[in-house]
Amino acid sequence: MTLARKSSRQTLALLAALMEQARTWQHGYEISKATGLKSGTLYPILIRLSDLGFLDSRWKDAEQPGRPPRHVYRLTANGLVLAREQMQVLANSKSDLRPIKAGAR
Amino acid sequence: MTFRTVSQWLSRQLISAAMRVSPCERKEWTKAMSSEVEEIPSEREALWWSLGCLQASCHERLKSMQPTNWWPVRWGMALWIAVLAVDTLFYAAITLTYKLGLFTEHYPYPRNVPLLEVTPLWDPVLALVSGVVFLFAIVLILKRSRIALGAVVAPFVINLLLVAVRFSRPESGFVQSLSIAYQKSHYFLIWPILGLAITILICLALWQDRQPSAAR
Repeated sequence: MTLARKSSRQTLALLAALMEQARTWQHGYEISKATGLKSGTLYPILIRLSDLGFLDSRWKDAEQPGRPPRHVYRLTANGLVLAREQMQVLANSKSDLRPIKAGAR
Repeated sequence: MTFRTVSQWLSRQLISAAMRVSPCERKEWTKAMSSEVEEIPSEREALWWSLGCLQASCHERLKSMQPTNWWPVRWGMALWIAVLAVDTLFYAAITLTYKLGLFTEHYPYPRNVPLLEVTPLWDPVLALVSGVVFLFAIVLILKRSRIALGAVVAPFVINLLLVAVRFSRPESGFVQSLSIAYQKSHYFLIWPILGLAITILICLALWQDRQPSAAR
């Protein structure tokens, strides 16, 4: 399994959001709100991270009755290592993720 | 009909389209995206979310349809490289045989003799190497090797350099032969441009094929 040397800003924003609450299972909409990524961008990244074994996912029953179960996500141990690495790369490059969050819809 | 009703209907249509477009192995993910719509309080936001679902499903569908996975595409690419190999090796053979003095008496292409006289020996030798690497590339393409790209790009670049050298040397007669062909038909340039475009497309396809699916 290879770790990317440099991830895209969108992937970095997602990794940062997942790393912030590493032990908590988060919903797609919640992550979208935290990162400012739209569903069309967010889910392909989630899928890729999951395929690579960096992301755990499971179905969770909805809190309100009558609603469908929701998919929740959190980083795996490898995902956490990747996230830390990428945050280090980000820190070294002296850039930040603010522009993505500013563009949140 | 209120905006709310229209928006909900549109959102359902988009989700349904996303489910249809999504490849089988990604259906669960599309279901995951669509189940979030129920939790989004704003109608407008839910509509955008559904549109994103469709976009993500299309993205996954396109990814699963990687053209190089399809055997006719791979064989087509190999066939084109074979054409380039034959063309390059043919040039190398007729030039080298003349240069090595194997056909001085009855050379089958007497019209080319003045051109062959001014062609340096390294030109056909490079073309020979390039043709052999092209042949090697055919095997690599069919075997889906990751180094196939290099085996196509290297001889392709060599051939382009050889053409550039011929262009830069007026005594080679290359420019004159092009201008004669151009006078015969203004459309003749379509073929080299098309050939160049096909080869570049093959290089791009091979480049995409060897991209690791690591987090990008």
